[in-house]
Amino acid sequence: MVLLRTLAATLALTLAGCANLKAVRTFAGESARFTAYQELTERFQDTYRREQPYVFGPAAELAKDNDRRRKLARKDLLELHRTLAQYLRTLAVLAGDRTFEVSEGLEALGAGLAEHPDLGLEARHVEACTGLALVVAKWVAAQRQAQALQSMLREGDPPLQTLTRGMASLVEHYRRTHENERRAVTGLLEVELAYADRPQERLLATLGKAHLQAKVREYELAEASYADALRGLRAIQDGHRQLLANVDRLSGSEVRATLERLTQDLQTIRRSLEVAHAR
Amino acid sequence: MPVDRNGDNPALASEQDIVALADSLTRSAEALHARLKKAIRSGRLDRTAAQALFQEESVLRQRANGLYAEASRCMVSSLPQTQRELLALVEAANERIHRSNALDTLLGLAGDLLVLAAAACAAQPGAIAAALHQLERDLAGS
Repeated sequence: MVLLRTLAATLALTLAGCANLKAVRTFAGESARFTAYQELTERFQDTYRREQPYVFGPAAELAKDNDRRRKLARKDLLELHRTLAQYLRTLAVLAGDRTFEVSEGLEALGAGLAEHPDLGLEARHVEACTGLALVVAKWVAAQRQAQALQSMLREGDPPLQTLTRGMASLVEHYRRTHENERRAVTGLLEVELAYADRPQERLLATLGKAHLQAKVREYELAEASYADALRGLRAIQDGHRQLLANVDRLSGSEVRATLERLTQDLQTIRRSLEVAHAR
Repeated sequence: MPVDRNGDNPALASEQDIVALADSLTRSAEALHARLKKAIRSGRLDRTAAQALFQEESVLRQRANGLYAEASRCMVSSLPQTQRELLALVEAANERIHRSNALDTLLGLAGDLLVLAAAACAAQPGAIAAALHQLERDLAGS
Protein backbone atom coordinates (compact mmCIF):
# COMPACT_ATOMS: atom_id res chain seq x y z
CA MET A 1 0.00 0.00 0.00
CA VAL A 2 3.02 2.26 0.36
CA LEU A 3 3.38 1.82 -3.36
CA LEU A 4 -0.21 2.98 -3.92
CA ARG A 5 0.23 6.04 -1.76
CA THR A 6 3.35 6.98 -3.68
CA LEU A 7 1.53 6.51 -6.93
CA ALA A 8 -1.45 8.56 -5.77
CA ALA A 9 0.87 11.38 -4.74
CA THR A 10 2.67 11.26 -8.10
CA LEU A 11 -0.67 11.20 -9.85
CA ALA A 12 -1.93 14.24 -7.98
CA LEU A 13 1.18 16.16 -8.98
CA THR A 14 0.89 15.09 -12.62
CA LEU A 15 -2.79 16.04 -12.73
CA ALA A 16 -2.04 19.41 -11.26
CA GLY A 17 0.60 19.87 -13.91
CA CYS A 18 -1.58 18.94 -16.87
CA ALA A 19 -4.75 20.87 -15.98
CA ASN A 20 -4.47 23.69 -13.48
CA LEU A 21 -8.06 24.72 -13.00
CA LYS A 22 -7.59 26.51 -9.69
CA ALA A 23 -8.10 29.95 -11.26
CA VAL A 24 -11.31 28.76 -12.96
CA ARG A 25 -12.54 27.26 -9.72
CA THR A 26 -11.75 30.32 -7.61
CA PHE A 27 -13.30 32.67 -10.14
CA ALA A 28 -16.51 30.64 -10.44
CA GLY A 29 -16.68 30.20 -6.66
CA GLU A 30 -16.22 33.93 -5.98
CA SER A 31 -18.76 34.79 -8.71
CA ALA A 32 -21.27 32.50 -7.02
CA ARG A 33 -20.81 34.52 -3.81
CA PHE A 34 -21.71 37.77 -5.60
CA THR A 35 -24.69 39.11 -3.64
CA ALA A 36 -24.80 42.79 -4.60
CA TYR A 37 -27.65 42.28 -7.09
CA GLN A 38 -29.69 40.32 -4.57
CA GLU A 39 -29.20 42.97 -1.88
CA LEU A 40 -30.15 45.81 -4.20
CA THR A 41 -33.25 43.88 -5.25
CA GLU A 42 -34.25 43.71 -1.57
CA ARG A 43 -33.46 47.41 -1.15
CA PHE A 44 -35.64 48.17 -4.18
CA GLN A 45 -38.43 46.09 -2.64
CA ASP A 46 -38.10 48.05 0.62
CA THR A 47 -38.44 51.47 -1.06
CA TYR A 48 -41.91 52.13 0.36
CA ARG A 49 -40.99 51.17 3.92
CA ARG A 50 -38.20 53.78 3.85
CA GLU A 51 -40.01 56.59 2.04
CA GLN A 52 -43.44 56.15 3.66
CA PRO A 53 -42.89 58.69 6.51
CA TYR A 54 -41.84 61.35 3.98
CA VAL A 55 -44.67 61.22 1.45
CA PHE A 56 -48.05 62.94 1.73
CA GLY A 57 -51.33 63.29 -0.15
CA PRO A 58 -51.48 62.05 -3.73
CA ALA A 59 -47.75 61.17 -3.66
CA ALA A 60 -48.42 58.84 -0.71
CA GLU A 61 -51.18 57.07 -2.63
CA LEU A 62 -48.89 56.59 -5.62
CA ALA A 63 -46.05 55.40 -3.41
CA LYS A 64 -48.32 52.68 -2.05
CA ASP A 65 -49.36 51.72 -5.55
CA ASN A 66 -45.74 51.55 -6.71
CA ASP A 67 -44.97 49.32 -3.74
CA ARG A 68 -47.61 46.90 -4.98
CA ARG A 69 -46.11 47.00 -8.50
CA ARG A 70 -42.63 46.26 -7.17
CA LYS A 71 -43.83 43.41 -4.96
CA LEU A 72 -45.39 41.66 -7.96
CA ALA A 73 -41.95 41.20 -9.51
CA ARG A 74 -40.05 40.27 -6.32
CA LYS A 75 -39.95 36.51 -6.78
CA ASP A 76 -38.83 36.70 -10.41
CA LEU A 77 -36.17 39.32 -9.69
CA LEU A 78 -34.62 37.13 -6.98
CA GLU A 79 -34.90 33.99 -9.09
CA LEU A 80 -32.47 35.54 -11.61
CA HIS A 81 -29.83 35.73 -8.91
CA ARG A 82 -30.55 32.23 -7.59
CA THR A 83 -30.16 30.65 -11.02
CA LEU A 84 -26.96 32.53 -11.83
CA ALA A 85 -25.39 31.55 -8.49
CA GLN A 86 -26.41 27.94 -8.96
CA TYR A 87 -24.81 27.82 -12.42
CA LEU A 88 -21.58 29.37 -11.12
CA ARG A 89 -21.43 26.99 -8.15
CA THR A 90 -21.84 24.04 -10.51
CA LEU A 91 -19.08 25.43 -12.72
CA ALA A 92 -16.78 25.68 -9.69
CA VAL A 93 -17.53 22.08 -8.73
CA LEU A 94 -16.95 20.91 -12.29
CA ALA A 95 -13.52 22.57 -12.28
CA GLY A 96 -12.75 20.98 -8.90
CA ASP A 97 -9.59 18.91 -8.50
CA ARG A 98 -11.48 16.04 -6.87
CA THR A 99 -14.56 16.08 -9.08
CA PHE A 100 -13.19 13.52 -11.50
CA GLU A 101 -11.47 11.47 -8.85
CA VAL A 102 -9.49 8.49 -10.14
CA SER A 103 -8.09 7.19 -6.86
CA GLU A 104 -11.28 5.19 -6.10
CA GLY A 105 -10.19 2.51 -8.53
CA LEU A 106 -6.65 2.41 -7.18
CA GLU A 107 -7.27 -0.11 -4.43
CA ALA A 108 -8.88 -2.56 -6.81
CA LEU A 109 -6.18 -1.94 -9.36
CA GLY A 110 -3.48 -2.84 -6.86
CA ALA A 111 -5.39 -5.59 -5.09
CA GLY A 112 -5.78 -7.66 -8.21
CA LEU A 113 -2.06 -7.90 -8.79
CA ALA A 114 0.34 -10.11 -6.94
CA GLU A 115 4.01 -10.81 -7.39
CA HIS A 116 5.04 -14.18 -8.81
CA PRO A 117 8.82 -14.11 -8.37
CA ASP A 118 9.19 -17.75 -9.49
CA LEU A 119 7.65 -16.81 -12.84
CA GLY A 120 9.79 -13.70 -13.07
CA LEU A 121 6.90 -11.31 -12.26
CA GLU A 122 8.60 -9.07 -9.74
CA ALA A 123 7.54 -6.10 -7.66
CA ARG A 124 8.83 -3.62 -10.24
CA HIS A 125 6.65 -5.24 -12.91
CA VAL A 126 3.57 -5.02 -10.72
CA GLU A 127 4.44 -1.41 -10.00
CA ALA A 128 4.88 -0.71 -13.71
CA CYS A 129 1.55 -2.34 -14.52
CA THR A 130 -0.30 -0.33 -11.87
CA GLY A 131 1.50 2.80 -13.04
CA LEU A 132 0.41 2.28 -16.63
CA ALA A 133 -3.19 1.69 -15.59
CA LEU A 134 -3.04 4.95 -13.62
CA VAL A 135 -1.80 6.88 -16.61
CA VAL A 136 -4.81 5.63 -18.56
CA ALA A 137 -7.19 6.48 -15.71
CA LYS A 138 -5.64 9.91 -15.26
CA TRP A 139 -5.94 10.87 -18.90
CA VAL A 140 -9.46 9.55 -19.18
CA ALA A 141 -10.43 11.57 -16.11
CA ALA A 142 -8.69 14.73 -17.32
CA GLN A 143 -10.29 14.33 -20.72
CA ARG A 144 -13.73 13.86 -19.23
CA GLN A 145 -13.31 16.93 -17.04
CA ALA A 146 -12.09 19.06 -19.95
CA GLN A 147 -14.96 17.94 -22.14
CA ALA A 148 -17.54 18.53 -19.42
CA LEU A 149 -16.15 22.02 -18.71
CA GLN A 150 -16.01 22.90 -22.40
CA SER A 151 -19.57 21.89 -23.09
CA MET A 152 -20.84 23.67 -19.96
CA LEU A 153 -19.04 26.89 -20.93
CA ARG A 154 -20.20 26.72 -24.55
CA GLU A 155 -23.82 26.07 -23.68
CA GLY A 156 -23.78 28.36 -20.67
CA ASP A 157 -22.21 31.47 -22.15
CA PRO A 158 -25.05 32.86 -24.34
CA PRO A 159 -27.74 32.62 -21.61
CA LEU A 160 -25.28 33.81 -18.94
CA GLN A 161 -24.38 36.92 -20.95
CA THR A 162 -28.05 37.71 -21.65
CA LEU A 163 -29.08 37.10 -18.03
CA THR A 164 -26.33 39.27 -16.56
CA ARG A 165 -27.11 42.07 -19.05
CA GLY A 166 -30.73 41.91 -17.89
CA MET A 167 -29.62 42.03 -14.26
CA ALA A 168 -27.43 45.07 -15.02
CA SER A 169 -30.36 46.86 -16.60
CA LEU A 170 -32.47 46.06 -13.51
CA VAL A 171 -29.73 47.50 -11.28
CA GLU A 172 -30.01 50.69 -13.40
CA HIS A 173 -33.76 50.74 -12.69
CA TYR A 174 -33.08 50.25 -8.99
CA ARG A 175 -30.57 53.11 -9.04
CA ARG A 176 -33.04 55.46 -10.73
CA THR A 177 -35.74 54.54 -8.21
CA HIS A 178 -33.24 55.09 -5.40
CA GLU A 179 -32.37 58.51 -6.82
CA ASN A 180 -36.02 59.60 -6.80
CA GLU A 181 -36.44 58.29 -3.26
CA ARG A 182 -33.34 60.15 -2.11
CA ARG A 183 -34.48 63.44 -3.66
CA ALA A 184 -38.02 63.06 -2.31
CA VAL A 185 -36.82 62.42 1.26
CA THR A 186 -34.05 65.01 1.44
CA GLY A 187 -36.16 67.49 -0.61
CA LEU A 188 -39.01 67.36 1.90
CA LEU A 189 -36.64 68.04 4.79
CA GLU A 190 -34.95 70.90 2.91
CA VAL A 191 -38.25 72.61 2.10
CA GLU A 192 -39.69 72.23 5.60
CA LEU A 193 -36.45 73.30 7.31
CA ALA A 194 -36.47 76.48 5.25
CA TYR A 195 -39.67 77.51 7.05
CA ALA A 196 -38.74 76.27 10.52
CA ASP A 197 -36.67 79.28 11.50
CA ARG A 198 -38.64 80.82 14.39
CA PRO A 199 -36.99 80.72 17.84
CA GLN A 200 -39.74 78.47 19.24
CA GLU A 201 -38.97 75.96 16.48
CA ARG A 202 -35.28 75.72 17.27
CA LEU A 203 -35.50 72.17 18.65
CA LEU A 204 -37.49 71.06 15.60
CA ALA A 205 -34.99 72.71 13.24
CA THR A 206 -32.04 71.13 15.04
CA LEU A 207 -33.53 67.64 14.93
CA GLY A 208 -34.54 68.17 11.31
CA LYS A 209 -31.02 69.23 10.28
CA ALA A 210 -29.42 66.32 12.13
CA HIS A 211 -31.89 63.92 10.53
CA LEU A 212 -31.20 65.39 7.07
CA GLN A 213 -27.45 64.88 7.61
CA ALA A 214 -28.01 61.24 8.56
CA LYS A 215 -30.24 60.63 5.54
CA VAL A 216 -27.75 62.26 3.15
CA ARG A 217 -25.03 59.97 4.52
CA GLU A 218 -27.25 56.90 4.29
CA TYR A 219 -28.09 57.58 0.64
CA GLU A 220 -24.45 58.28 -0.23
CA LEU A 221 -23.46 54.86 1.12
CA ALA A 222 -26.25 53.14 -0.80
CA GLU A 223 -25.30 55.02 -3.98
CA ALA A 224 -21.87 53.35 -4.07
CA SER A 225 -23.36 49.86 -4.04
CA TYR A 226 -25.12 50.39 -7.39
CA ALA A 227 -21.79 51.01 -9.12
CA ASP A 228 -20.32 48.01 -7.25
CA ALA A 229 -23.11 45.73 -8.42
CA LEU A 230 -22.66 46.81 -12.05
CA ARG A 231 -18.90 46.30 -11.76
CA GLY A 232 -19.43 42.82 -10.32
CA LEU A 233 -21.83 41.81 -13.08
CA ARG A 234 -19.29 43.02 -15.66
CA ALA A 235 -16.55 40.96 -13.97
CA ILE A 236 -18.73 37.84 -14.19
CA GLN A 237 -19.50 38.55 -17.85
CA ASP A 238 -15.84 39.19 -18.74
CA GLY A 239 -14.59 36.20 -16.79
CA HIS A 240 -17.04 33.82 -18.39
CA ARG A 241 -16.27 35.21 -21.84
CA GLN A 242 -12.56 34.65 -21.16
CA LEU A 243 -13.24 31.08 -20.06
CA LEU A 244 -15.12 30.38 -23.26
CA ALA A 245 -12.48 32.03 -25.46
CA ASN A 246 -9.73 29.96 -23.80
CA VAL A 247 -11.73 26.81 -23.42
CA ASP A 248 -8.86 24.68 -24.84
CA ARG A 249 -6.17 26.17 -22.61
CA LEU A 250 -7.80 26.93 -19.29
CA SER A 251 -4.58 26.40 -17.36
CA GLY A 252 -2.67 28.90 -19.54
CA SER A 253 -0.92 31.64 -17.60
CA GLU A 254 -2.65 34.47 -19.48
CA VAL A 255 -6.20 33.36 -18.83
CA ARG A 256 -5.25 32.56 -15.24
CA ALA A 257 -3.94 36.08 -14.70
CA THR A 258 -7.15 37.60 -16.10
CA LEU A 259 -9.32 35.34 -13.95
CA GLU A 260 -7.29 36.17 -10.86
CA ARG A 261 -7.74 39.91 -11.49
CA LEU A 262 -11.51 39.51 -11.97
CA THR A 263 -11.72 37.33 -8.86
CA GLN A 264 -9.97 40.06 -6.88
CA ASP A 265 -12.48 42.61 -8.22
CA LEU A 266 -15.34 40.45 -7.03
CA GLN A 267 -13.69 39.98 -3.63
CA THR A 268 -13.24 43.74 -3.25
CA ILE A 269 -16.92 44.28 -4.05
CA ARG A 270 -17.97 41.63 -1.53
CA ARG A 271 -15.80 43.18 1.18
CA SER A 272 -17.10 46.68 0.54
CA LEU A 273 -20.64 45.33 0.92
CA GLU A 274 -19.64 43.68 4.19
CA VAL A 275 -18.16 46.97 5.39
CA ALA A 276 -21.38 48.79 4.43
CA HIS A 277 -23.37 46.27 6.48
CA ALA A 278 -21.08 46.69 9.47
CA ARG A 279 -21.75 50.44 9.65
CA MET B 1 -40.05 44.87 -30.47
CA PRO B 2 -37.25 46.46 -32.52
CA VAL B 3 -35.95 49.65 -31.00
CA ASP B 4 -35.52 52.68 -33.19
CA ARG B 5 -32.49 54.43 -31.69
CA ASN B 6 -33.33 57.64 -33.54
CA GLY B 7 -36.66 57.91 -31.81
CA ASP B 8 -38.69 58.01 -35.04
CA ASN B 9 -40.90 55.16 -33.84
CA PRO B 10 -44.34 55.87 -32.36
CA ALA B 11 -43.79 57.07 -28.78
CA LEU B 12 -43.74 54.74 -25.76
CA ALA B 13 -43.73 51.56 -27.86
CA SER B 14 -40.87 49.83 -26.04
CA GLU B 15 -39.57 49.43 -22.52
CA GLN B 16 -36.63 51.70 -23.37
CA ASP B 17 -39.08 54.40 -24.48
CA ILE B 18 -40.94 54.18 -21.18
CA VAL B 19 -37.69 54.38 -19.21
CA ALA B 20 -36.61 57.38 -21.29
CA LEU B 21 -39.89 59.16 -20.43
CA ALA B 22 -39.40 58.28 -16.74
CA ASP B 23 -35.87 59.74 -16.91
CA SER B 24 -37.25 62.89 -18.51
CA LEU B 25 -39.98 63.22 -15.86
CA THR B 26 -37.31 62.77 -13.18
CA ARG B 27 -35.52 65.73 -14.75
CA SER B 28 -38.81 67.68 -14.61
CA ALA B 29 -38.90 67.02 -10.87
CA GLU B 30 -35.27 68.18 -10.59
CA ALA B 31 -36.10 71.37 -12.49
CA LEU B 32 -39.10 72.06 -10.24
CA HIS B 33 -36.97 71.48 -7.15
CA ALA B 34 -34.29 73.88 -8.35
CA ARG B 35 -36.94 76.57 -8.99
CA LEU B 36 -38.57 75.87 -5.64
CA LYS B 37 -35.33 76.31 -3.72
CA LYS B 38 -34.54 79.50 -5.58
CA ALA B 39 -37.99 80.93 -4.83
CA ILE B 40 -37.69 79.96 -1.16
CA ARG B 41 -34.28 81.66 -0.91
CA SER B 42 -35.63 84.84 -2.47
CA GLY B 43 -38.38 84.89 0.19
CA ARG B 44 -41.11 85.20 -2.44
CA LEU B 45 -42.85 81.94 -1.65
CA ASP B 46 -45.01 81.26 1.39
CA ARG B 47 -44.97 77.88 3.11
CA THR B 48 -48.30 76.68 1.65
CA ALA B 49 -47.24 77.51 -1.92
CA ALA B 50 -43.87 75.84 -1.35
CA GLN B 51 -45.57 72.70 -0.03
CA ALA B 52 -47.93 72.66 -3.01
CA LEU B 53 -45.04 72.92 -5.46
CA PHE B 54 -43.09 70.25 -3.60
CA GLN B 55 -46.14 68.00 -3.74
CA GLU B 56 -46.13 68.31 -7.56
CA GLU B 57 -42.46 67.39 -7.57
CA SER B 58 -43.08 64.35 -5.33
CA VAL B 59 -45.93 63.12 -7.50
CA LEU B 60 -43.72 63.40 -10.60
CA ARG B 61 -41.07 61.31 -8.85
CA GLN B 62 -43.61 58.66 -7.85
CA ARG B 63 -44.92 58.57 -11.42
CA ALA B 64 -41.37 58.10 -12.72
CA ASN B 65 -40.80 55.30 -10.20
CA GLY B 66 -44.07 53.69 -11.27
CA LEU B 67 -42.84 53.68 -14.87
CA TYR B 68 -39.51 52.13 -13.79
CA ALA B 69 -41.32 49.45 -11.79
CA GLU B 70 -43.57 48.33 -14.60
CA ALA B 71 -42.07 49.61 -17.84
CA SER B 72 -43.23 46.61 -19.83
CA ARG B 73 -46.85 47.10 -18.78
CA CYS B 74 -46.89 50.76 -19.81
CA MET B 75 -46.07 50.25 -23.49
CA VAL B 76 -48.67 51.49 -25.98
CA SER B 77 -48.93 51.20 -29.73
CA SER B 78 -49.64 53.63 -32.54
CA LEU B 79 -49.41 56.99 -30.77
CA PRO B 80 -49.52 59.78 -33.35
CA GLN B 81 -46.39 61.39 -31.82
CA THR B 82 -42.94 59.86 -32.26
CA GLN B 83 -40.74 59.08 -29.28
CA ARG B 84 -38.44 61.90 -30.37
CA GLU B 85 -41.34 64.40 -30.38
CA LEU B 86 -42.53 63.24 -26.99
CA LEU B 87 -39.10 63.61 -25.38
CA ALA B 88 -38.52 66.97 -27.10
CA LEU B 89 -41.78 68.30 -25.61
CA VAL B 90 -41.00 67.12 -22.09
CA GLU B 91 -37.45 68.47 -22.31
CA ALA B 92 -38.77 71.81 -23.63
CA ALA B 93 -41.08 71.96 -20.61
CA ASN B 94 -38.12 71.16 -18.32
CA GLU B 95 -36.12 73.93 -19.95
CA ARG B 96 -39.03 76.38 -19.49
CA ILE B 97 -39.38 75.38 -15.84
CA HIS B 98 -35.68 76.12 -15.33
CA ARG B 99 -36.00 79.58 -16.86
CA SER B 100 -39.47 80.74 -15.85
CA ASN B 101 -39.97 83.08 -12.93
CA ALA B 102 -43.75 83.04 -12.97
CA LEU B 103 -45.30 80.69 -10.43
CA ASP B 104 -48.37 80.29 -12.65
CA THR B 105 -46.26 79.05 -15.55
CA LEU B 106 -44.44 76.59 -13.28
CA LEU B 107 -47.65 75.19 -11.87
CA GLY B 108 -49.26 75.02 -15.31
CA LEU B 109 -46.40 73.10 -16.87
CA ALA B 110 -46.05 70.84 -13.84
CA GLY B 111 -49.79 70.12 -14.13
CA ASP B 112 -49.44 69.21 -17.82
CA LEU B 113 -46.52 66.89 -17.05
CA LEU B 114 -48.50 65.25 -14.25
CA VAL B 115 -51.42 64.56 -16.59
CA LEU B 116 -49.01 63.11 -19.15
CA ALA B 117 -47.31 60.95 -16.49
CA ALA B 118 -50.64 59.64 -15.21
CA ALA B 119 -51.78 58.78 -18.75
CA ALA B 120 -48.48 57.02 -19.46
CA CYS B 121 -48.70 55.01 -16.22
CA ALA B 122 -52.23 53.96 -17.17
CA ALA B 123 -51.04 53.11 -20.72
CA GLN B 124 -53.92 55.06 -22.30
CA PRO B 125 -52.90 56.23 -25.79
CA GLY B 126 -55.80 58.69 -26.18
CA ALA B 127 -55.03 60.40 -22.89
CA ILE B 128 -51.30 60.47 -23.65
CA ALA B 129 -51.85 62.09 -27.05
CA ALA B 130 -54.22 64.66 -25.52
CA ALA B 131 -51.75 65.45 -22.73
CA LEU B 132 -48.99 66.01 -25.29
CA HIS B 133 -51.22 68.38 -27.29
CA GLN B 134 -52.00 70.34 -24.14
CA LEU B 135 -48.32 70.54 -23.23
CA GLU B 136 -47.50 71.75 -26.75
CA ARG B 137 -50.19 74.45 -26.56
CA ASP B 138 -49.04 75.63 -23.14
CA LEU B 139 -45.41 75.78 -24.25
CA ALA B 140 -46.41 77.86 -27.27
CA GLY B 141 -48.57 80.15 -25.13
CA SER B 142 -46.37 80.69 -22.09
